[in-house]
Amino acid sequence: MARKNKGIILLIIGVLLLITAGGWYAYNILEDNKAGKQAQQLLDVITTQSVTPDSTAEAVIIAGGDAFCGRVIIDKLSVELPVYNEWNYTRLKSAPCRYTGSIETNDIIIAAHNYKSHFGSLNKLTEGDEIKFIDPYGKSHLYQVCEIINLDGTAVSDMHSGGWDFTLFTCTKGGEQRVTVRCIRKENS
Amino acid sequence: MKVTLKRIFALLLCATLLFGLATNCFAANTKGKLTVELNDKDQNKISNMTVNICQVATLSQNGYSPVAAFENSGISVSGIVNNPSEAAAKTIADYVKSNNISALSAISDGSGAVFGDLDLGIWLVFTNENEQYTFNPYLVFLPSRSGDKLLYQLTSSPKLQDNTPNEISLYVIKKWDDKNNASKNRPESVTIELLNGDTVVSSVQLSEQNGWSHTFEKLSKDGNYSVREKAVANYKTTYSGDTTNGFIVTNTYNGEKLPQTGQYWWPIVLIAVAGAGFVALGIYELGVKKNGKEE
Repeated sequence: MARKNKGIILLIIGVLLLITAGGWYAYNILEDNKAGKQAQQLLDVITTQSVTPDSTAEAVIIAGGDAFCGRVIIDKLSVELPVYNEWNYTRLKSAPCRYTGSIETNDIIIAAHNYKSHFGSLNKLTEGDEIKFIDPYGKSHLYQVCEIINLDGTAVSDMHSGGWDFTLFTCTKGGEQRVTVRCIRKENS
Repeated sequence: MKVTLKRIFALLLCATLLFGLATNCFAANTKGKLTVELNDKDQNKISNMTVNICQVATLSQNGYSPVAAFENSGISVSGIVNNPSEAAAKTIADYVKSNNISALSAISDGSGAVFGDLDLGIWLVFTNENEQYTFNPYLVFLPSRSGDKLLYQLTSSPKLQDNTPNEISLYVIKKWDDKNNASKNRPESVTIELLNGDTVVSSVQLSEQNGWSHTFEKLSKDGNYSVREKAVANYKTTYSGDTTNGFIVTNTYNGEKLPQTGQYWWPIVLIAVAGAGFVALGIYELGVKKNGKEE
């Protein structure tokens, strides 16, 4: 009898763990889908916005009460996403964010979640791939991938070093490292 | 009665002799020198202080005569001679300033303010009003008598008044060394404590609202002030500046980490494997029972 009870208890624990894993998986998928939809909605808004040139401040597009510094297009990954002007964890849940730098000073670093709809496939890029960035004036800036490396989560200094024109990064699946894509400006367009 | 008359006669004789020494017995062509020693209450020598002197009267065989600038001033030289009081000196000093009468000036060094090659007579000594230290104007007779000697090189040590304000203000500003808050870990406010010695006498919260700066007002000038920040997580604090120029409290970020941009997938695998294991064990236990192997 005791052995039967033991078997039932183990079975219940196992089922609960499987349900937890399944729920967690579903949550991640739903969160990913939600992030993709939010990014698409924001993209739809900012692509219809235009800005007036202002020499006193860096141009941004205002949409939904927030500021965007442009949008990033990675044709190889079929990704087009708006980019928040400043980052925080709330914004990262809906779209990539500018971490530091700017297009004008050729040192912009863009961070995004590893959702499949965001930068989840960043590690599939290879040297020579092209990435476009559309600034608030609608001007297209073309970049070429030169390096793809994984940096530790604490490698802040490394992230800023190297003098790269354009950098994208996101977490690895494990979360401890950052998939980092380094690019140089290909041409002025 | 005879004794009293003798005493009166002796006094009159002495007075006559002294007056004679002060007026008729001086070396007419001699130049004088005046040194004004300037020491604060702690006997520290005060340098870079401007001292002015202005001649009020000249001395000749006929006695004192006002210099041209004072001839129509209404100031009585004989009155000064008879009563060279502080009030008289102040009256003359006011007249000098209101009439822009020229004066000699010297800036003090470790020896004080020194005036040489002075004509004999009566001199007014005074300071500028905007000095950190000032003294009440006073009159100097050149030469002056010391015992039975006439001194042509005089030294005076006026009592200085310290005009440093009794209260001071102390400015403190917060600076951030964190790549413009790239980590987003900067707190919304920090608390700065003002200490006098080891005692906290005031505190203030600095934030964007007050521009991360504050001025502590109405502090006693005699305090030994410093500032201290309550610990801010992930930031190292350094201090610079002083009570004169204000304090700078710099926070340098030392907990730098790149933003966490990933969903957690790996725990799902672990939980799923563990769950499958428990299920398998449970089924095994139930199977054993069903097959009647349990005792």
